[in-house]
Amino acid sequence: MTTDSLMGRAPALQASDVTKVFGDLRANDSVSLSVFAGEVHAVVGENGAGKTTLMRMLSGELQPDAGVISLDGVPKTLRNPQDAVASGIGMVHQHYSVIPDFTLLDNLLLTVPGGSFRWLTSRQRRDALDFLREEGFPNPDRTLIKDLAVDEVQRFEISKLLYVGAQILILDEPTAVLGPIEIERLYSRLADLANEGKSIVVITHKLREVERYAQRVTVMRGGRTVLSQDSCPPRPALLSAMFGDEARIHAEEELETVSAAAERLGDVVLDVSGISVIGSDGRVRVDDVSFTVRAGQVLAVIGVEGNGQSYLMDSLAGLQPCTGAVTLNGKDIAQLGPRARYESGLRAVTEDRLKWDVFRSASVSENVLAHEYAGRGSLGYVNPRGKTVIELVKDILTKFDVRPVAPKMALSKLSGGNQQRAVVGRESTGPKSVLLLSHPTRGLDVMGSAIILEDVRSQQAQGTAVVWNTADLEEAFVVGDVLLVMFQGRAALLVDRRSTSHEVVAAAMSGAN
Amino acid sequence: MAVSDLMTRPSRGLTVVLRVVFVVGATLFVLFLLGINIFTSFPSFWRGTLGNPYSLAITLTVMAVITLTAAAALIPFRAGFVNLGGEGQLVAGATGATVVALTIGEPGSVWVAIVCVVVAMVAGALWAGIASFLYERFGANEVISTLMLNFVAFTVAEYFTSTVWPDKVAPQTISIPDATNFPLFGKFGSTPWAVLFAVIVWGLAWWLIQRTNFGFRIKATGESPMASLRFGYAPVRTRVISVFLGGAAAGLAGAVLILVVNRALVLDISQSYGYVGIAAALLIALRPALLPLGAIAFAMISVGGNTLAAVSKVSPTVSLVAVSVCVLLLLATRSRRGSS
Repeated sequence: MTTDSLMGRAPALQASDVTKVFGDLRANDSVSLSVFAGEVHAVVGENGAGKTTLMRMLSGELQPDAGVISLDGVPKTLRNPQDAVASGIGMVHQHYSVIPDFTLLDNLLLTVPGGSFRWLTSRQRRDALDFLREEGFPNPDRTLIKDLAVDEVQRFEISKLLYVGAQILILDEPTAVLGPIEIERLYSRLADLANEGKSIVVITHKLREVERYAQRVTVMRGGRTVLSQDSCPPRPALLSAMFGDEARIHAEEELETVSAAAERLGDVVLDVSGISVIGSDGRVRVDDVSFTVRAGQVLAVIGVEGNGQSYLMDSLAGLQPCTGAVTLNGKDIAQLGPRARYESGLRAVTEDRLKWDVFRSASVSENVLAHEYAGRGSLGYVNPRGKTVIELVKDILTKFDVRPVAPKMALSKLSGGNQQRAVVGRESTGPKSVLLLSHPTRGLDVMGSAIILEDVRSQQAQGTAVVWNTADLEEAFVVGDVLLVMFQGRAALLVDRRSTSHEVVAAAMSGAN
Repeated sequence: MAVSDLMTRPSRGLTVVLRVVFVVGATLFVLFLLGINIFTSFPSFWRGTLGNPYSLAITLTVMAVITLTAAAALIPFRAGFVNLGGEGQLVAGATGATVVALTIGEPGSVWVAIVCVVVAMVAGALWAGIASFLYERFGANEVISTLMLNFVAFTVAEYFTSTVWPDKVAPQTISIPDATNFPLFGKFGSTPWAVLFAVIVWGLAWWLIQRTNFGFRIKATGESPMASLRFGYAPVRTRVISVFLGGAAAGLAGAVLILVVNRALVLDISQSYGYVGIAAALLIALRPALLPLGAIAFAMISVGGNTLAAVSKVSPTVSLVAVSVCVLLLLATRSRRGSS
């Protein structure tokens, strides 16, 4: 029995046999999706499965090459995002569309339709103010977006859509930056909205959320919908629908369940003692944090976005000045720059890939070799097209499943997830003492994450000390031997994984103890 | 993001060639609209640019100068420094060369000419260095400072033409000694030397940018100074050196104009070659290998434009109009790929 017959009415939003082609790539190939009023509908699939393309068509950013999009059973052409908004479809992107230096009120008023030269009446202003207060933002005309925590900004984004009358809300990876408590809060809000008769579509990689919160699941693979049903199928069925590759699934399931096996702990490699970081705005971002990491050990740094983890990781990599002592193999590196730390055996995958990790117009090969262009003769040349170099780069790309394996291609032509794999591959290759990983699996599908996890396990076996920053509680428990919970710049909890629980860590992430 | 786009996303070689063809064609069309019959006057265009030894020598000299000023734009551009000061750096170089030639005075020699070249390059580099210093030390916008320094350079040159060594009739200095020159090549005069300098700079620019670690650091610094800092490419040093190299190329162009063309510091010695060099560098999408291509296109437009103007009895300003049209067309036809 399908939901269609249960409800006996047309879906609020329906895509029928929608196709979108980019060059040689059929990003969406006769995709169908039905979303009903009153449901939370999860769309899952690996990187490149076509989820984002589908959502961009539903929100008017792209036009389908073939197929029909209907609202309440009536076919509708969405020529642009404004059309979609006018039809009651709203989208929350991964990167929020707000102006950080504007107040909440101004950000909301920006969404009022009517063109650049509309006249705002004082009544419209008052209505907007009242609306935001009702939505639970106390001083919307004085609070700036940049002063909100990340989950508050997301809540504001949702309010914005409701203000312009959205009936169908599409959220792209909404929980990537949230902690467990905030995730719980978000889904309870979404459930409330669904109960009010709205339709919620959530694109996600996190299977636990699908299992827990979604009333209906659609799985996409290779640009097609392979499964769409009322209740979440059991995990193995879900995974084979997503990947269709039984062998890899078993490997990945083992990795997730078997704990960080065979710990061979060595000496303390990284000793961080009382470091503090002052942000450029003068605020204390990291406040007196200390920890040690031993050879072969993984320290998982976890916290809700914006609690100082980013500053902590950047300062360890030498990208952010800090006070306090950082010792690597007995050598004080606190005052060294990033290159000098590299030479001392520290490697880093940073959080802001575009800012610190890659040169987008350079070739994939040049990016993989990026460390080699420093510290050598200026007039010498590391030829990124040389035969042995290409072989080496190809090995790295293959190992981390970067697709396509094309060393001479410009890096910008790779998808974000593939760029990320290439960066992790670069930092993971070669001898090192410490490996810093900031959100290494963000935006990667389960398979991509598994490859990185596998690699970190082998790094451990070779005696590398790993610091892995994540916002995902589950991931922290899978990868970390020791968990460091950050809250408001302080180390709220530093604990062995085996002697704690999800509840304790989740509470610490929200500052509950 | 227009300029940075150009700096970091050079388009493919074929696209560049097509653009050259398009820009030259469209410019000819504009000339046609300005009252020049491009069909009937083509023979004189040909004679005026490449068709006889005399005009060939002029075109090659202009091409050499534009190659040098294009390099002056290209190298700093690739490092993320928008050097619009090629004009001023050229004038600084020309002034430096003149000062050397006139100070050492008669009888002059090849050795003096060599010193002229070296001093001109140093003068161009130092002139660019002013903007570089202002940029690195105080964060002064280089687009403004390089542009403004062009006017300062002209004023300095004017001091020499009007006060130090004024010529009796024209707004220029007295001529430099005849012996201060390179060995001449018959009716080509010293043009081959200009071409030789341009070829050397072309080769060096290509080799440096495309075939050295330092070249990768230049491009990396232009694209992402932060990532360059992280990888230890010393972005500040890299950028400063690039600006000096660019200034030296423009200074060399100034020396070429003094030694090969004018034999004196003329007030409007630069003939806008500094700006045309920027256009040429943009035309070839900042690809050093294509430097002569951009230079020949603009050399033919500016030399041929003058000939056409003379033949069709319209104002010689049309060649400047033609160059300006080219620049606008370049910006308009610039590839938009990957601008997101």
